[in-house]
Formats: sequence, C-alpha cells, structure tokens
Amino acid sequence: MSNIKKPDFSEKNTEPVSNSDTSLSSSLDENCCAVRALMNNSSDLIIKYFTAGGHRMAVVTCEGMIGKADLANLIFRPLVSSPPKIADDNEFFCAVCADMPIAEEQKQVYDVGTLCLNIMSGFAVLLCNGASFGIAIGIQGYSHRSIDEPSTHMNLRASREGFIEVVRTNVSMVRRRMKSPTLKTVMMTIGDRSNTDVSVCYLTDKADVNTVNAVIDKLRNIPLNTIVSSEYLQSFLEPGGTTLFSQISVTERPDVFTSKLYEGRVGIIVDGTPFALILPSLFAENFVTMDDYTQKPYFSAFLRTIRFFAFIASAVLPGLYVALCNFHPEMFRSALLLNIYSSVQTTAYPVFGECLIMYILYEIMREAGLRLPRSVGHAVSIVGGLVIGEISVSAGLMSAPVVLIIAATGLCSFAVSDLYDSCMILRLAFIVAGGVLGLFGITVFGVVIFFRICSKNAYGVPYTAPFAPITLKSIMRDTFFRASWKKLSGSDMTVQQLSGKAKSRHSSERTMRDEQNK
Amino acid sequence: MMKIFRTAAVAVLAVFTLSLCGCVNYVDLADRAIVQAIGIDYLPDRKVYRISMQYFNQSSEGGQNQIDKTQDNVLKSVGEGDNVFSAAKNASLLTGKDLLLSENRLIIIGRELRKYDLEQTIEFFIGNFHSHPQAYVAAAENTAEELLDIRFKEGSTSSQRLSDLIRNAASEGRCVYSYPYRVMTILCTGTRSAFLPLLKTAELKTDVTIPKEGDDSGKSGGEEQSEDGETTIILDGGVIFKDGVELSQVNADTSTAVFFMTGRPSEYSFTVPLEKYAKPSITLNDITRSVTAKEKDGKVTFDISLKASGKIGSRGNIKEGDPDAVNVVTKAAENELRRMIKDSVIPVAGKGCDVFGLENTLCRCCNKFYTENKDRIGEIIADSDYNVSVAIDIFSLGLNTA
Amino acid sequence: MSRISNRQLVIAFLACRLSAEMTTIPGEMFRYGTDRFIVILLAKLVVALLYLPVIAVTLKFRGDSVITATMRRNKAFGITAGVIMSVLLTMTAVQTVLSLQHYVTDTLLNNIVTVSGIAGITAAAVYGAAKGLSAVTRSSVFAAVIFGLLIFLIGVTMWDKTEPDHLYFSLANDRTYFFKSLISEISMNSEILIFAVITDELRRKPHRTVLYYLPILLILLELLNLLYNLILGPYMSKVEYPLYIIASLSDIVLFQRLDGIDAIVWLMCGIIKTALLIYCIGRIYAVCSKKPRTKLALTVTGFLVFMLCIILGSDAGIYDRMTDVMNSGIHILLGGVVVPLIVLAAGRKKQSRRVKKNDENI
Repeated sequence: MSNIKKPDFSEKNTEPVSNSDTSLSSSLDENCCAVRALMNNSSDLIIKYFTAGGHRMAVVTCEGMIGKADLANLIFRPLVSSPPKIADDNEFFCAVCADMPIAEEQKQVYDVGTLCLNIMSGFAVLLCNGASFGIAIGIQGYSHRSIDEPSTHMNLRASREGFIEVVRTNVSMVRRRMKSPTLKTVMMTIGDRSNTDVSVCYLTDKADVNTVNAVIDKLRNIPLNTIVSSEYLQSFLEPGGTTLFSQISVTERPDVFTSKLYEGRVGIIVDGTPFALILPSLFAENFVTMDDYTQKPYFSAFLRTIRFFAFIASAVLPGLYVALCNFHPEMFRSALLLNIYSSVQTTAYPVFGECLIMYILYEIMREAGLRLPRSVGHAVSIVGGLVIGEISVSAGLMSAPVVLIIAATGLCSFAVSDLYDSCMILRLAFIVAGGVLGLFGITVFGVVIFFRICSKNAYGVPYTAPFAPITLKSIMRDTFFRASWKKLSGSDMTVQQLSGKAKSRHSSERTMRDEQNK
Repeated sequence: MMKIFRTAAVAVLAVFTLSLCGCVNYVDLADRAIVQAIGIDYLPDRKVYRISMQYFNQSSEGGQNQIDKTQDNVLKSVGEGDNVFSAAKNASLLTGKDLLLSENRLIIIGRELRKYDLEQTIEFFIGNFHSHPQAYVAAAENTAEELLDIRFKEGSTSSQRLSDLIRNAASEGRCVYSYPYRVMTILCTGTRSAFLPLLKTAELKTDVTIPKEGDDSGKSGGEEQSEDGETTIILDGGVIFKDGVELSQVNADTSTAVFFMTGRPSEYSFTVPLEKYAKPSITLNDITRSVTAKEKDGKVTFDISLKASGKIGSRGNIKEGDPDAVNVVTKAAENELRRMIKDSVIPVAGKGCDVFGLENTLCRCCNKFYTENKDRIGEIIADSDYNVSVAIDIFSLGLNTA
Repeated sequence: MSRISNRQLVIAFLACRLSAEMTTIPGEMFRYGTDRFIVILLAKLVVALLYLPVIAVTLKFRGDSVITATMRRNKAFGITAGVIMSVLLTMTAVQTVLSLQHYVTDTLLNNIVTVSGIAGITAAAVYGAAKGLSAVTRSSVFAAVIFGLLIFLIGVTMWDKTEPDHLYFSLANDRTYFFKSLISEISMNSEILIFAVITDELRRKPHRTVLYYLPILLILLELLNLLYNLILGPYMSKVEYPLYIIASLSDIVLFQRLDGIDAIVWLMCGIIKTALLIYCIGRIYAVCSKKPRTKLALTVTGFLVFMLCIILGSDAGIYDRMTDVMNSGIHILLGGVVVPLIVLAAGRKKQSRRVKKNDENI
C-alpha cells in the first residue's frame, strides 16, 4: 500500500494518474513481464504478440472485457494490412498513435499501473517494442444488462428507461436528456482495490460550486478499498453521518436524475450499480414522483397529499391506536369504541403487546417474502395472510383492529417507498412512545423528530425547506401543489434558493464571475 | 469514547423508557366500563348520593360484531356516597371496572337532588375532562334510577333512545339542547337559572307494533310484538332552576318558549286551534327573534318580537281556493304563539328566574342600569313588563306539500 | 453561527406565546366579557413600549444582543448581566415546564407520574436547544401549522354553537379586575427575554421581528378571545383551559372530539418555548465564556430546570408564590427593560468619556 500513490481527482485534473511507479520501458518483453508481474500472472490477462510493418507489437487485454470484433477490425486489421511505413520503432508507434484513428477513445499510458487499470476497465493496450509508452484503446465489450425499465420508482407515463450497471452508458443516458454544454461530468476512480469508476454530474450554471467542490473532496477522501454500490458512498457524503432521514436521494431513473441536475443538484453515478445518488435532497421530495409532472397539477396535488398522509399514517397510526386505546379512548367515535371494546375483550394480550407482536410478525413476513424465490414467496403470503391474520383473530390471540391497522400501515409505507426504512423505525418508536406515555409520549417524541429533521442542513440547504424556513414562492411552486408547466416555465429556481436567505448567490457561474471581477 | 458514552446513554434511555411502563398507571380498554347513562339521586333519609349507571355490555355484540338482541345491551351498576364523586367511585368498585365517562350520553338528575345546588353536580362532569361534552342533562320526574331500570333494545345501547329523544325534541323546538356546558353557561348568570327537560315514565298506549328480532329460534321478522301496555319514557316539559335549585316544573309550552328565546330556532311546527278550519298545522321557517329592553324610572319593559315565514302543513278543513283562509290561519297562529310565549315567560320571569336570557338583553340594551343593579337582576326581571309580538308570513298554503 | 430570519423568530414567538396563553392562566385572567378585548389591546401596546430598550440596544450596538453588547464593553458587567438573565430565563423555563406538566396531568394524561412528565418535556427541550436555534424555530413552523389546522377545524365544527348574544354581556366596569388582568397580560411576555439574548443571531434588522410579531399576536389573541366569548359565554370565567373545552366540543368525522389535538399543539408549543429558553441560557454561557460548544451547558441547564421543577412543583405554596412573582411581570421589567437600559446608559457614558478624551487630546 505504501508505494501506491492516491490519485488526484480534482476538477482540474480528472485523468487518473498511475498507481504504480514502474514506467514503461522501450523493451516490449520487459513491459509485458512487468504487466504480468503486477497482475500476478492472472489467468484472465491476455497478451497477444504480433508484427506490423516489421515492428514487434503486443495487445494487452483482460478476458471478457473487450469486444473481440472491435479488436480485430479496429486494431489488427489496419495495423497488419496498412501500417505506416517507418523504420524506427518509436517513430512508427508515435505515427500509429497520432495518425491512425483506431477508436474514439484513445490515450497514451506511460506506466504499468495505469496500463493495468485501463485493461481492467475494458481498454485494449497496444505496446510496441522500442516505444516506452502504450496506447490504451477504448473497445469495451464486456457483457452487461441492457437498458431496461427500472425495478423501483415505477411510473405510468414517464420514460421507461432505467440506469444500468455501466457508468458510461448511464452518463450517456443523462447526456441524451440534457444536451447542454453546461452539463459537466467528472469521472474519477475511487476505492484503492476496486478502482470503481464514479461520475460526478452537475450543471455548471446551476450547481453551487461550493457544493460541487465539497462533494468531490469528500469522494476523494473516502477511505474505502472496495465500492460495489452507491450506498457505500452515501454515508460519507451525508452531512452529519448516518441519519434517520437521508439528505441524499437515490434514483434508478435518468429522467429524475436529469431534472434534479437542472435544479442545481449534484448527481453521482457509480459503476456497477443502477442506483445514482443526488444531493442535496429535501424532505418534501420524498413525496414527489416523476408521474406528478406528467399528470394534471390538481391530480398531482391530490396524490402528493395522499402520499404525505400515507407517510404520517404509516409512522404514527399504530402508536396512536395504542395511545388512544390505553389512555384516551374518549377520542374514538362511539360506534368505533364499542367495536374495539368488544374485540379486545377476548384477546390474550394488552393492546400495546398485541401491536408490538403483530408489527414484528409483519416485518418478519415481509423480510421473508422479499428474499425468497417467488414460488416460496406465495407460501409466505398464505401463511402470513391466512394463518397469522385470520387464525390469530379467531383464536383470540390478536384483535381484528390491530391486524387491520398493522396491515394498513404496511400498505401506507409502500406508498412512500423512499421513506420505508425511516417509517419502519419510526413506527416502532411511536408504538413504544404511545404505549408508555400515550399522546404525551407521541407528542414529545414527535417534537424530538421535528427538532432532528429541522436541524439538518444538506450542503447549505435546510432539509425541511421550503416549509421551514418558509419560502412561500417555492411552496406554491412545487411542493404539495405543483404549478402548471406554464407557471413553472416562467420561473427558474434552484435548490440553493431554498436556503431561507433572501437571494441566492450560489450558482457557480455567478460566483465565478464575481471572482473574476475581484 | 464518545461512541461508548452515546451507547450507554441510549441503553440508559431504553431501560428508563421500559421502566416507565410501570410508572404510568394506565387502564386497559378491556378493564373499563363504558358508561352510557348516569342517573344521580339524593337519598335524604340517609343523606347520601346514589348513582345509577348503565354501562355497555360487550356480550350483547354477537359474532362478527352483529348485535345480539337476546342480551341486554347495557348492564346496571349502582353506587352510593357522600358526594357525586365518591358515589361514582363506589359504583366503579362494585363493577370492578374503571369507569369511562366519555361515552356517557345522558345525565339524569333525580327529584330530590334538584333541591340542592345543580352546579355542583354538573361540575363533576365538566371537571372530568374525559366525560362526554355533548351528553344531555335531563331531570327525572321521580328518581333517576327508575328511568334507568327501563331498557330499550333498539340501537347499540339502551341510552341511545333517550338521548335521541332529547335531541329530536330539541331539533323540533320542544326543548333546548341541554349540554352540560350550556347548562353551566346559564347557571353562571346573575340569577343562576337553568332549564332541564323532564323525563318521565309512561305506559305505552299506541297501536305501534315492532318486529320481534333475534328470538331463540333464529327467526327474525316473522312474528310481531306489541309494545302496548309496556312502560316507556317520555319527554314532557321541563324543570326550571333558580339560584341553582329547582324552582318548579313547567309544561311543554314553556319548554318551547325557552327554545324560542334562547335556542336557535330554524323550524317549528304547531297546530293552530281554529274552529272554522278545524286544526290546521303550521310549520314555521326562517324564524328571527328579537328581544330588546327599555328602562324608565327603574321599570324595565322587555319587547319580544318573533318573525317567521311559514306554511300550512296539514290543511284541516281548509278548502282549496278559500280566499280568507290564509289571513284567518295566520292571525290565529300568531295569537297562539303570542299566547304561548307570554303565558310561559311572564310566570317564570315573575319568579325572578331567567331561563330566557333576559339578563343578557338588559345588559345589552340598558348597560348602565344593568351595571348599577347587577345584584338585583332577579327582582328587576320579576317586576318587568313583557310585550310579545309575533308576525307570521304564510307564503304558501301548503297545498302541494300537504 | 447560522443566523435565522425575522419571520422564523416571529413564528417561534407566536408558538411560545400561544402555548403560554393556554397553559399559564393567572388569576382573574379569563373573566368573561368584552373587557378582555380592551385588556389585550392595551397590554400589547404596553408590551410594544417594553420592547423599545432592547431594540435601542440592537440599533445602537449594530445588531448586538444585550449580553454581547455588555460583554464587549465590560466583562464583569457582561457576566453580571448574563447571570441575571440566566436566572430569569431559568425561572421562566421552570414556570413553563410546570404549567405544561399541570396542563398535561389535568387534561391529557391524568395518571402520568410528575417525574415522567417533567423529564419528558425537559429532555425534549434540551435536545431541541442542542440542535440549535434554526432547528427550534423551524420546528415552530410545524407547530404553527397544526395550530392553524386545529383552529380551522374548531371554526368549522363550532360555528353553529356560537352565540352572538354573549358578546354584549357584562361590560364589567370592574377596575380592579381590569388592572389585574392588564398586568397579568403584560407579564405574560417572556419572549422579550429571549429577544434580548438572541438578537445577534438574526439575519437583519431585529426590530422587524417585533413589528411583525406584536400585531399578529394581537389579532390572534383577540380572535381566540372572541371564540371563547361566543361559545362559552359566562361559563368562560369558570373554566381553566377554555380552548381545551371548546376543542372537546368539536366533533369531526375522524375524531369525536379535538381536545387531544389541542393538547398536542400546546405541548409542542410549550416544548419549543422551553427549548428556546434553554437555548438562550446556553447562548449566554457561550457569549460570557467565549466557548462556542455549549452542549454541556445546555445539559446542565436542563438538569437544573428538571430539579427545580421537581422541588417547586412538589410544594403548591412555593409554586403559587413563584407564579405570583412571575405574574407581576418583574422578570420582564428586569431582564427586558432595566438591563437593556443600563447597557444603553453605560454605552452613552463610555461614548461621552471617549468624546471628552478626544477633546482633551485635541
């Protein structure tokens, strides 16, 4: 580790530098030996020697990482059939590099470390005896999942395309939706071992330059060896560490990703995962879907309100039920109270215990059903729905209202899938608070949650914006109510304008202009 | 170090939270008695308060929450004590359950209890923040317990019929909504007056038959059961209070007058006694009330004015096309209403009892006089003159709707 | 230090005040009648005058709070002022927590153990204070929204139970009552203490907070008073918590009564107020000790408030005496008027001395 230098991925220098000091020599054999040595003579390393125009050459690749047809058509055929007629090895190779357009992505490598990194990223590296550098040619041809409909965040009328596991394809999907020169992507490699490609995307005229720099700095200093998913990065980017409510949103949809970039946010796409990160994210955004923008504003407003109430119900309803049953039965409507009263007479546990048991059982069933093969999953549903639901009520172990409430809250939590994990914890906490101290406990715990949420500032933007601090214009623009596209098109708003300050002076363009003026 | 401290803090908090389970003395819903009606009596010979309660019988709810008609939907519990609170506590001890007053729909005040301060009795319910704020307060002709011994099987609980009886009467203009806070509102005025509807037992003498439900054979609706001769409860007039204690019982007309003077009259139907046209019924709508007061040489005159639109509900002997009918019926209706109000207000006010909100009117119209004589409002009201004017505009003969 | 806007502070102050209006009921306060409308109006005019010294301090010392201004002039004087303000704020916090505790046990949860109630409220308030002024003021927005919802629901469900005739009743002409309730109403403005401590955390022009806050508060209080009068009438003077009673009469589709929501709102507002008060004590500590980290100070303050609540709350006599002292408005006069006036006087003296010195040098 000590001899490995950390790459510099700042905005100015996005080209990864060598992670090994060994420079390429002019001897082809020595270079090939060095590569073999660095790769520990790995079985997937392929070195193909050949002669072109009388010069000894070799193509270094990783098995399965390149397109074989591209290798034949773009490298072997032109080099073998019509090589530059130069006798000197070094001059010949320079001519190949300069005059022969082999592939669109083509760069020179000077050390063994970079060479290995390139071949592991799907490049074919061309080496020539007598030349102390190599040419990395982008003919990636590894197999990957094709662009498909995203499995999460399903929508009715929005795009059917979802991100895939290949970072470059994902970046191209974003570029296709934002054909603007201000869209900048910064590619960097993170993870000392995995060397995972990570792309940071933002709009230079919208995103706050401080946020961009902060994100790049944080990414650069991530001490992880291996990164196989975007969630690995999330806790490092989250201001204040891991929290109940995340200030970083995750999306599988390029359309959502692009629209968030337009609002001045920074997006991070990680190779190997279809889930991209967007930051900063606000609490109110958890209730927004892409479909809201394709439907009529009043319908979107209705759906968003429903989602909000689903979230509240999901978190609070079981706790509230326990609190009302144990401490404040007077709040129930008369007929409801009489029904509940009759049902709890025959149950074995007090309401608090019933609720806890039922809730934990529900989560166990969900977890079991989620990870099992589909055929077995059906059996879990039958066991869950029929045996636990029906039999436990008729056997007098559980009361029907508790089963109904737990099932209903489970359903509600699916309506706001982004907040599912928060809901799960909150629900349990509210059951305990309501069971121990009734409405008093629920209120005190609720206030604590308010304090916690309200104290969050993600990269200068309050998490509870635009409600607290209040920005009336934004509330009316796109929160519970979405203004029509006619109105939305009239104003151009970025997330930094929600900071509660009178004016936003955060766009990088303006900041840079200010700096230039200074 | 910080992490260890944090973990320790969370552990302590968790233990504290769990230990709190024992600190809060909550009562499980299953261990509560859901009170549906309360009757309060005073036993002068033993000088104790006696509370009778009807509470919900959960066994009356059959499988799948269907109402099981074979069982009484309420059970009765009785408790005695030196005051209302201790009597209620004793009733709770006898029942073995914690009393939940939030569903109590009816508070019946027994005859003997009305000789003592009503405010103290009602304060028990108002002071209990869990008790139902919209329960009706009513007076019993004899003992409250006697009324609660009569059970009704329709509805989910027995007391539902009684509370429905008062609600229906109030919406029809036969009495006022006697919620505890409203009774307290009027009890807090200078004369400490109040009006409560009066419930009394009566024998059913109608041809009404009701389908017999839920018999043992499982048949329903096949046979019919006559209620003739059975004891039931009726609403008849009311009881007025002055200085917090019962002043007298009043008839249904006075109840209606209280409704007209203090309630929010929107619709009222009554029968006009008219020889020529027999007895047509009139329904009044858009009723507006105006009460003003004038003071001259220490003598106050109250002008009570009622205006209403109306229509004839039942024609009686009115013939179609009779040109005099409207005028004659209108005049008779006005006279009848005027008589009813005058005959109700003057005797009651003459006793210095202010169930009609006259103190309010005096304050509003003769504020200076009111402020100077605040301590003798009862006397002033008793010595005052009352002018009643009624104007009814019958815009339809009701021929189409009769 | 993250600064907050005037708007945020106004909402936080409204939450504080409305909570206090409901849970702290001084004697003779809620007598029924039209007099109270005038009492509220006059009280707010007087309170506006009481804010002037603090505003003058902020204007004179370029946005500095009273404590910061004194610390900059003289350290000993600053610490003395800080101690005085801390004591006053602690007493206000204790009174707030005890009032809330009484309110909770009287209405919402009559079988809760006192220690649990006080511990819960204080712990939540300390947590809020530790999270910072932004967190507390932002939370008050949500409390304000729930309060608005409650009032809307009450308005919708109770409009048919209002009795306009009640409004004409009882122009009491009772001067003793009038002045007593006027003083009580004036004394119930402990926000002036908070304002004196945190003006330097406002983004700009602190006096704007008062300009917005007092008129809005006046309108809200008058509306609430109107609601009490219209619905409860003469019975109003006999009830402890009028809005709670009115909420319990409200019947919406989901709930038979709204008193639970009413209690939730006041409890939320009360915790926010306590959090603000504890935050202010932490702020005084930070300014006086010049240490930015105040979490330990906040925890200690919370513990102190908890212990004082236990001690004072266990003796009704002491509690009543403390309430009497607080209702007399001494704490407001001392912390909101006397201390700022001394700061102003000291500033002027120093300035005149400087001018004199300059003259001598010339």
